[in-house]
Order: sequence, then structure tokens, then C-alpha cells
Amino acid sequence: MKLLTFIISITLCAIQLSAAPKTDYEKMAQAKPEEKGAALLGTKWHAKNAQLVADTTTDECLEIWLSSKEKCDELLSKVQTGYQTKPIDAILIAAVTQYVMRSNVAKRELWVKSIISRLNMTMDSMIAHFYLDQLRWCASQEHIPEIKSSVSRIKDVELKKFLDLLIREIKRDCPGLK
Amino acid sequence: MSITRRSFINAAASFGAFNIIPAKVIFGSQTPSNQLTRALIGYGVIAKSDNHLYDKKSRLVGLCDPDKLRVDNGLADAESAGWGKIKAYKNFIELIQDPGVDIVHICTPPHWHGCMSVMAAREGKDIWCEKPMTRTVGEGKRVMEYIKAKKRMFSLNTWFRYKDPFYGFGKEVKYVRKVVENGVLGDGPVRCVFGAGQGFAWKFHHSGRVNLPVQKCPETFDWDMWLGPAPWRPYSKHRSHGTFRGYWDYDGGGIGDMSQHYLDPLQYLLCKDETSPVRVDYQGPKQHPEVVGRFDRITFKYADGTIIILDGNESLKNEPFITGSNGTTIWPVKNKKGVVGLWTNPGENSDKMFGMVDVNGKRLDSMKIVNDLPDPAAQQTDFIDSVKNRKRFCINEETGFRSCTLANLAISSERLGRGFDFDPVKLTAKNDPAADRFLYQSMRQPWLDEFLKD
Repeated sequence: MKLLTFIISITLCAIQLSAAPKTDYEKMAQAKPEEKGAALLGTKWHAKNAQLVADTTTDECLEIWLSSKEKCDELLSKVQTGYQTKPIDAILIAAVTQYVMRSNVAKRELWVKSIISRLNMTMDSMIAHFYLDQLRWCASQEHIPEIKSSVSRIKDVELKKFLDLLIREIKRDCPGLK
Repeated sequence: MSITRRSFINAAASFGAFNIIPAKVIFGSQTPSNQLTRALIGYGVIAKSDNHLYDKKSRLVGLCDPDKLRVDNGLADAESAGWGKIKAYKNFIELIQDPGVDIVHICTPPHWHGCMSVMAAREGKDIWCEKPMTRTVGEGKRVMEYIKAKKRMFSLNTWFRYKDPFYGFGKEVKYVRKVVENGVLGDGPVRCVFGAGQGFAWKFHHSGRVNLPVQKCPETFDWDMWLGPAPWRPYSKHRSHGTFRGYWDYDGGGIGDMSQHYLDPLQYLLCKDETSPVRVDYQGPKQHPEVVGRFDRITFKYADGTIIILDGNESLKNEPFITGSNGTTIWPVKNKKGVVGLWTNPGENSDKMFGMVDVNGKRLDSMKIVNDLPDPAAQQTDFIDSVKNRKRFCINEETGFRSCTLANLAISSERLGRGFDFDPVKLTAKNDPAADRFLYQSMRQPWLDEFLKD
């Protein structure tokens, strides 16, 4: 009888485990069904927030975010998981990334190092993905070892593939360039 | 003189034609079993259109899609369209490796176009690919070079350079080309405006959603295969199927959707098939890193001074379509809002002819002008004939690459939030590594290896 109870318990646990979400993404997917219209179309969001975007993405404003490591960190810490980063924060981060590419070496280095530093602080794949997606456009070859080290802590096969893609792009090992 | 199998084999041995010309073209008659065949990769909205599902110039034999529901729809639609029971391939690799398929129709989102074109060409297929040709300049360059090397026939699913009235023009674009190439607009560079005012809508509804939820992927849908060479991201329905255009990972919004329809014919009528702009400029908001937004204005400038303006915010809606160096202007037949360009030539239905005005504001008889000019050089406009006789189609891997480069320059400038200089020979941004990072991107494995191997 005890053996039968044990077997039934194990079987029930196995069934529960197989039905339970296996990844962070599956957990997110099960957490809350989408409310209709909750995710705004990008152009509609822009129409509602055009002045905000225009006012906050000037070169002068972007310089403020690059005035110190603390300010960089403040902006980058706004990244959230599961596509939930506020649009204005995502736009600001992307704008700073592009700004540092036409700015001086020191500012670019500060920004890249700040992103890598935030990478070191997260175990969330989607947040890591967001940071890597910015490094695609602004990191240099000398940053590759640090980036690899940061990502190595997160056990996500797809993140590793994205890292591979990023490294190729930083090295300019891209289709059409050879 | 009829070609016998023996004489063909002898000739083919000399010229290595075995892998180039479909055998049924050489030996065949017009029976269904010898008709050229096609198969569709992807069965979304566009696959259901005339050129893919219904066209009778080749025989539809199969399709594939990573969404099983779409495969089922495709099989049912094919039967209704008179094709009988066609084959459902497990995936596109099985499809392109099928020796019974002559022509592959790539009906996927743009992030797959480059890789599939190369892989299909490697298997000896001729290709009819949806537009835009590729998602980046780098992919387009690779496709162009590979198609040429493998001697495949390649075309894009856009046709305004050789048939149908060109949007607001009321006439086929060759009539405008006659005007341009015969100097009616002067000897110097022209200025072109493309916007709603000229009859060209930029479809800003092709935008992604911010703050998407991560969703459970339906079991009938192979999300990983759909993503293919694009970076992996968790599934959310709006990122796929009919709304993928709103995400930079897969396309470029309205520019990705429409620019080859608009700008390929323009490139043709301006006689610029062999070059690209030297400068692109951007006006508009800073863009979201994942979600395509709108633009205000994107301007291309060629080395000879030719200007092309994509008018996103309709600030130029009252401008002519083309302004010549001598002040002569070309106007669309009518503006959908009925504001500008409503044009009537004497004795002509206003729906049938674009308008022309000289530098003094005098209306010109555009129909007479056009009729008195010599026609442009004939184009190869029958793709089946191209496949059978190995004659390059008018929209091919080179002309398509150049017009797609316009789209990719525009999209890159949007994502950068600024303009940059471009080298139309080296096909790279000039002294601008940040711009080059958008023009040349990598791919997710294993598709990068498939794209690059010989």
C-alpha cells in the first residue's frame, strides 16, 4: 500500500512538472492573458508622446545621461523583462547608443561599460537580450571577452546564439562584407 | 530543327548546361507533366495572390509553412484554385530539394528572403521572391552575387516597372521614362517626391506594438523555424504572421512593404538601375529599438544631384511628383484626397494620363508628348520565358538589389535617427561604422552557415 501510494505520488508529481512552465518565457505567457488593446501600436504611442520624445532625445538631454556612470546606470536599470520596458525608456537607451557612436571615445566607453556592468547584474534572459541588442551597435572588439563572461552566467541556449551573432557583428564578420 | 536527347547531351557536355536548364524545358512539350512547376514557401496573405497561388503559367505542385493551420488552408485553397491535391512539404528544405520543383516562390517575411534565395539557388531552383528582396544591404549583395554565379533566374514580386498603371500616374511607368530619357525634363538632375499627395501611401499602420505580452505559442506553429535567421525572442502573436512588418528584426514597416513597389519603377524611369544614392538623410522621431514607428521625411541624393524624397508627414503633398532641371513638372493624375494633381488633358480622360506643366505654368499635352517620343529599350517581362530560355528578367538580382538598397538605406537612417553618406560602388557607408552596422548584420545559426556556404 505504501509502495502504491509512493508510486502514485511520484506519477502525479511528474505530470505536474511536465505541465508546469519550463522556462521563464512560458511562465510569463501563463501569468496574465493579454488585455485587448493593452499593447499600443508604436505609431499610436508615438503620436501620443511625440513631444516627450522630441524633448527628451535632444543631444543635450542625451549628454545628461552620459554625465556619469550613475546616470548611465539609472537609465539602463529601467529595462524590464518580457517586452515590458517603457517605450520612452527603450527609445532613450537606443538614442544614447546611437549618440555615443558619433560622440567621443570616452563617452562611448562609459556607455558600453555601463551596459556590461548591468549585464553582470542580471540573470534574466530577456533583460540580458535587451542589453546585448544595444551592444550590437556600439561595442568594440576589446569588449568581447567581458561581454562573453557576463553572459556565461545565464544558462540560455538562445542567448548564447544571440551572443554569437553579436560577436560576429562587432568583428564585422557579416554576410556581404567579405 | 528539333533537339534530340543525344544532341542535347553532347552539347550540354560542352557547355555544362545540365544544372542550369530544366530538362523538361529542353525535351518537353506543353503537357501538364512537362509544364514548369512551382512551389510556395510560406502560405500567408501574400501567397494567396495571383502571382503565387493562381498563376497558370506554371503548375503549382506544393507548399510549406511553419504553421500547420496555414498549410491546411493552402492545400484547400490550391484544390479550390484547380490545382488538385498538391504536396505539403515538411519544411522548405524538403521543398527546395525536390527535383520535381522548378521554381520556388518565397512568400515569407523579409528576414528569410536572403537565406532562402541562396539555399534555393544552391539546389538549382529558379526563384520568384517577395519584396523587399532582402532585409539588409549585406544580404542583398550576397544574394546578387550568388544568383549570378549559379546562373539562376531570379525575380521579385513587384511589377510596376514593366506593367500596370503606376499608382497615381494613370499610365505605365515606361511613359514617364520616355519623358525622362529623352530630355523633356532638361539635361540636369530631377527632384522626385513620393508621398500621399502624389498617390503613394507609406502605410504607417505597419507598426509593432510596444509592451507586447509574451504569449504561449500555439502547438501548430513552429516559432523557431518562423524566426529562422532572426534573433530569437519569446513568442508574441503580433510579432508574426500578418503583423511582422512592424518589427525591425523582420522588416521595416511601410518602407519595407511598399518601397520596392514605388522605388523600383522610379529607379527604372530615372535610368538608375546600376547605381545607388551617395547620401540619405532622415527627419523624424527617434525610433524604438524593436518596434517600427513613422518617419517625417527621408531624402536620397545621387551623385549627379538627383533627389528622391519620401514624404512621410505630407508636408510636400502639394508638390509635383517630378521636377525637371528645366522646371517642367510631372503631376499624378489625381490625389485621393482630391486636393492636388487633379488633371485633365484636352480630350483625355483624367484617369488615364499624368499631367505635365512647363516652367511658366502652362499645361502641356502629355499624351502627345509621350506618343511622339521613341519607346525605351524593350524589357524581358515573361518570367517563364526567362526560365525556359535563360534570359534575365527585367527585375532581377541586380536591379532588384539596387532598388532594395534604397529601402535599406532608408530603414538604416530611421534606426540611426540621422543621415549618412554611402558609397554606391563599395556598397558601404562612408566613414560611418555606426551606419554600416545596420547595413551589414549577421544571422542566427545554423542559417548563417547555410547562407554563406558555396
